[in-house]
Amino acid sequence: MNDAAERKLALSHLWVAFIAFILACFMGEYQVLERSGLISALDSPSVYFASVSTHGVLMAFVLTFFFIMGFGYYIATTSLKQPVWNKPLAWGGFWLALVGVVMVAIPLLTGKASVLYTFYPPMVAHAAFYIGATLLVIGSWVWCAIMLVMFVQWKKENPGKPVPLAMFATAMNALLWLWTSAGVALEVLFQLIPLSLGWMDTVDPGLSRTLFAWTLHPIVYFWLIPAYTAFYVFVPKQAGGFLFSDELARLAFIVLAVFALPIGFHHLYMDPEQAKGWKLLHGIGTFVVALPTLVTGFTVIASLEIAGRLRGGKGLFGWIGTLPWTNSMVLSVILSLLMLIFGGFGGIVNASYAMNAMIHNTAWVPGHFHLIFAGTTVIMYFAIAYYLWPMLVKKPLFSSSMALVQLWTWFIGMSILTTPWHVLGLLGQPRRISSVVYNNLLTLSWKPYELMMILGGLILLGSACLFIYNLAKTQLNPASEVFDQQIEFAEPIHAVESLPEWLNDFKIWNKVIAVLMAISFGYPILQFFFMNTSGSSPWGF
Amino acid sequence: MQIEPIKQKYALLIRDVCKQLQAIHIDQLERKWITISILVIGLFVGIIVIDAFFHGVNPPSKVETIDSASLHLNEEFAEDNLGVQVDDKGNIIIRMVAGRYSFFPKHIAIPAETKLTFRWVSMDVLHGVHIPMTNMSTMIVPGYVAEITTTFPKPGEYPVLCNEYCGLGHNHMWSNISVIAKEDWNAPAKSPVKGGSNNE
Amino acid sequence: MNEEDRKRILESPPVGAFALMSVVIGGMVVAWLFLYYGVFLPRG
Repeated sequence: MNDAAERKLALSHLWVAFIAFILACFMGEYQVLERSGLISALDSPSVYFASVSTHGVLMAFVLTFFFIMGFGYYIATTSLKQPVWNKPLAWGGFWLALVGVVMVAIPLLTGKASVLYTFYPPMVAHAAFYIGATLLVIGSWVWCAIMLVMFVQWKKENPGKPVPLAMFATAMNALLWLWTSAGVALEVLFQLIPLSLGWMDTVDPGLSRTLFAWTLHPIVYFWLIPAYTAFYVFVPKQAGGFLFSDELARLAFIVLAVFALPIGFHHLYMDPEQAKGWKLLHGIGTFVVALPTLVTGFTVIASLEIAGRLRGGKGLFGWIGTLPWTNSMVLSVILSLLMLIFGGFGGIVNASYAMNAMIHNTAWVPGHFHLIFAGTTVIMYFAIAYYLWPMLVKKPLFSSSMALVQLWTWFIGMSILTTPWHVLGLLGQPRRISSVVYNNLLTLSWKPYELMMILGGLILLGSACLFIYNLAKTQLNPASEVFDQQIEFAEPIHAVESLPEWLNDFKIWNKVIAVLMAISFGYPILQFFFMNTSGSSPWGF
Repeated sequence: MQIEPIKQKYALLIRDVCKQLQAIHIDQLERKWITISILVIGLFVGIIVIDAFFHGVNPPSKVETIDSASLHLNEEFAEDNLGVQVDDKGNIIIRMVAGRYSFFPKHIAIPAETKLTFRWVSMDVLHGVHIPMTNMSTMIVPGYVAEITTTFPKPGEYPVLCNEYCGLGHNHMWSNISVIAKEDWNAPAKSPVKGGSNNE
Repeated sequence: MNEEDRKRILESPPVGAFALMSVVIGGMVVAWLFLYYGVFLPRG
């Protein structure tokens, strides 16, 4: 099949993602430097908060959405072995999303949208920020529609056959994102856009926070599922082995998507607008969603163990040494899992209901999400890029040793950046401050950690530059000879001939999600329409 | 609508699913691992739920509204009613207003090792307040009163810090609280306590 | 690696993975209990 069009579609998305990424990396290092107060000439809240807002939007919404879409298109076409459905529509979605990015970038960079990537009212940004964000989200919905159409079409043409695991996970992610984004869409369409345009005088910030919380948890699983997809469909083969269990992989994706949604209130534990019964319910759900990650860890490490033993590893742990550590996909998963241990633990602490008071809105929180997202998830984005690029541009990777150095330095830099960040949180440092001006001795204990973080950020910045350089050189190199590497999906140890419908389809899970969402969010949202609330007028910053 | 055939249909469905689940080959060690994971998660959830129901270990959760735009007209949060007060039953209630860029009153004194109830409101945007090294942590959402009950075990001078972005002056948003040893603390002069919490 | 050894490896339970994950989850239980009873509750 001539997949030139698919490759162009994927590459366009991936480049937007990675250009956003590298720009945001520079902003990140500026931020950690400014915050430490080391260079007083840098001190400027207006520049700092514009940078944090831009950095957050680029990393959380642009890098992610465009990476996931590009990756998804290529997975769909290679795993189902058919062209992407309705390519004009796919391109339409791409351009719509890109226009959205430009529309948010302008107010962000000119200091008119310094409301951070969470944009809680009643502080409001320029209306273009919210409208641009809406276009970006609608563009992503186009991708979701195409993924689901291809999924349904393939099932019709192949009745009774198991959907290839890579596409099952991708389509599940598309369904998850449609459910997830509804929350913030409601907030933006019915509150923030009218408020910022002056069509509404007031909004209820309690309702806004609740709607945003609907999106805020499952969005991280939207980001994470491509990494888990690579864990299951690429890693075992790259390590020289087999996938330990195909069925448990599907079950993990299902439980992940179903339980990622009705648990947003662990972001609102300290909020006054929701009662403790609902918070406890969401808290219990949050612990349930830890289970598929624990199972994923086991399945992936078991697959690695089989691979290591097939390569001659003996004894309880000998297989670790015989794994191909110089394969970038294998190295990435090892480093990713190491970061998942600590990032996941931090998440469990955050989820622990009243204990959340210990770290809520402290520096622990950005420490946590940089470790789990910028660490565990993004390192797999790198691995996927290194694996796909040669196939997308039909040229060998410029330098595989540079890729290994890049992955190691990303891991080392992330460890040096996030470990002090967590400690600062336990020592009470608030998040979202641009400098430390409290006249209290406690702040003296913070200084050494802030300085260490500058070093971590610097290593990460260098690593990010290596990443971009490697991909750019790969693409720009002249093609010397015919290079035709094909994508290889891992095979399970036990081949899957047939699957029960509930492991091969989403119809029933869609209903389960609907019921869980109605229980978890129904009353908590409806209450705002029956309570006697006073709205807040828009405020500047 | 007939219940029996629907009940039968679901019973059959669940039986089918269980049979299919058992037919899936799951390695015996992975089965053990799933059990261990469920037990560990159960341990954490168990401790949390028991402490929530039987030891009052809960996050701030009283849903109470207020008009943040007209606090000056509100009896309870009028300026002369802010700060530390002791009601007739001996409960210590502290009423604080958060607004760009400080917490008012800017300095308060409270006794250590004593149950305290804080009531926070915002006069403008979203704020968060945390007294480092304590569990006095809550969001302050305009339109709502954030009520939180807590205890300070250790005497000392603590900063009261805003930890939610509230504008370009957010870094400077802080106040002070003195936690005084129980035996040394004196209740402020009695004045009629207006409005607010029905302490449980 | 002969066919017999290969089959044996593919059919044997992943004892190394189980050992690793058990250590990890054990560590998490200890760390969580330390934070909950040693830091959070004593802070009042």
